[in-house]
Amino acid sequence: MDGMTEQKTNPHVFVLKDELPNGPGLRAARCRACGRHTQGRVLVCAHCFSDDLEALAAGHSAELIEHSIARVPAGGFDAPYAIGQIRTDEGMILFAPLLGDPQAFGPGKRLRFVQVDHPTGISGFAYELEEDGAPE
Amino acid sequence: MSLQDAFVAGVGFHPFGRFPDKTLKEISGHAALAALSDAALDPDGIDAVFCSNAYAGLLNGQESVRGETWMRTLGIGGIPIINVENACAGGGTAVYLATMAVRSGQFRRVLVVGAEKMYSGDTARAIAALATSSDIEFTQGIGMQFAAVDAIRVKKVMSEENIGEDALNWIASKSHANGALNPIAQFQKPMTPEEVGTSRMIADPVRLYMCSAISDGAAACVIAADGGTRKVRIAGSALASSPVRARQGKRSTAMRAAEACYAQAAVGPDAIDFAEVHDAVAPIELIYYRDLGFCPPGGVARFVAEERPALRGSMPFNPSGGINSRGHPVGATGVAQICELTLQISGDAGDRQLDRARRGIALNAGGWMGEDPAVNAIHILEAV
Repeated sequence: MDGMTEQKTNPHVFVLKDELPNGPGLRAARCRACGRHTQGRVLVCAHCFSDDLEALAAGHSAELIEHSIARVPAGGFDAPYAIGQIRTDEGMILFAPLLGDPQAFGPGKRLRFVQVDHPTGISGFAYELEEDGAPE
Repeated sequence: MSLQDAFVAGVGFHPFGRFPDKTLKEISGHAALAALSDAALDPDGIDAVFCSNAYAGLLNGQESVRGETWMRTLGIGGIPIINVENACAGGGTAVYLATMAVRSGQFRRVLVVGAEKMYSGDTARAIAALATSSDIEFTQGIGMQFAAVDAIRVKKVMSEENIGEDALNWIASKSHANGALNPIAQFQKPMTPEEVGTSRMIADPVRLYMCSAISDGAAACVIAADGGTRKVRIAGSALASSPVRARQGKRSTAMRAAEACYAQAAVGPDAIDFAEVHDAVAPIELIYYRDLGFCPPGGVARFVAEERPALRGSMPFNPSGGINSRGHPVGATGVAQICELTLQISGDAGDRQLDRARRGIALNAGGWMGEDPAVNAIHILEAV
């Protein structure tokens, strides 16, 4: 484990600025064979099985597939809060916390990755609406 | 290819609910003895045991050899005891493995026991345990909980099928009405759609009375090469894991398991009389109406409007009350579904007995991986 992961809420999901090329962003692997992205630390490309992979940060922009507003808190979150299923521009699909007015989100809304620095010194991540949040 | 058929020869339960004064061994043992009695077997009459449990390590401190501890309470030892963990689908997975073991000729009579003790008075602890049934590297620390995941799934099918919240309320009310007829159910109180629709919101659009509760309970069945008095054959037994969608396309875990199960049973959805499905939140049934092939894409709203999934409808879903009302002691759920199918098919379902129950299907889902439930176990049982 590198030193910086101890400062993050989700060390396997996102990276800070200097951890990987293009950071901060989601931890991902780009396949040099097919050019597509797979989320996380993986040994082979999920699309073509190639092991010729480049670790980098991705998921800087995404589209909201659907979301819900959780009224019962999960660990570390104060309800109500929004959680969404998103599709990054590279095609990775994942659940992510949404930052902002929970009522403002809807399917197709454009999102951007944000690093969330907590007062405790630990960093988290979330997605918030792009400037106007309108579907493309 | 099977060397011999597999049948459900006996079923048994410990009621589902909250039993703070009972141990997991007592709960599981109660169900196991009931199933053995139903099959007219004593403990020495079985060749192997498959035990399903998910969270005894986290919630009860018994991290391993769970089944061996349960069986020792009944004086059972010396035979193979296999512990099965596959999140909420552990029960269905245990039945799948037991079916395979009997069909292969390895064993003639196998006991399957699913049990869970989740109630501790600390709901957050149980929810945290449930949340580990996913790839925690990706899901911890993002506010994920299964109610929210299911809420998102429900919203997607509502959008795809043009379904309003009235349908969600009706489905939950239907399950509560069925649960009221099931003596082992955790919730045995009917509930109107209005009561469901005004209950507290948990994760939009999922409300409190649409959710399963934190439960203790156990279910057991004997799977054997001879049908005994119940004469219920396991016609199909299939398991699928979450597809890697990036490469494997749009077919869900459920669609994959269903296709394999229908093929094995050599029947299609039109030959199925009723279904028990994994409704951790009641409206998730909407997905299974379609994924199991009981209505085409675009046909779900009509399927509900015609009340086809009702107990006296043309395609009853969750006559037991489902997870929503029967309760969800995780390791027991998939076994309880098999027990319900068996009771219905053999005409022993009491006040909730269906008019026509010659062949039923059970779908037991577990965990989350990528874009789908991590596992689905599907079984088709039929009268012989």
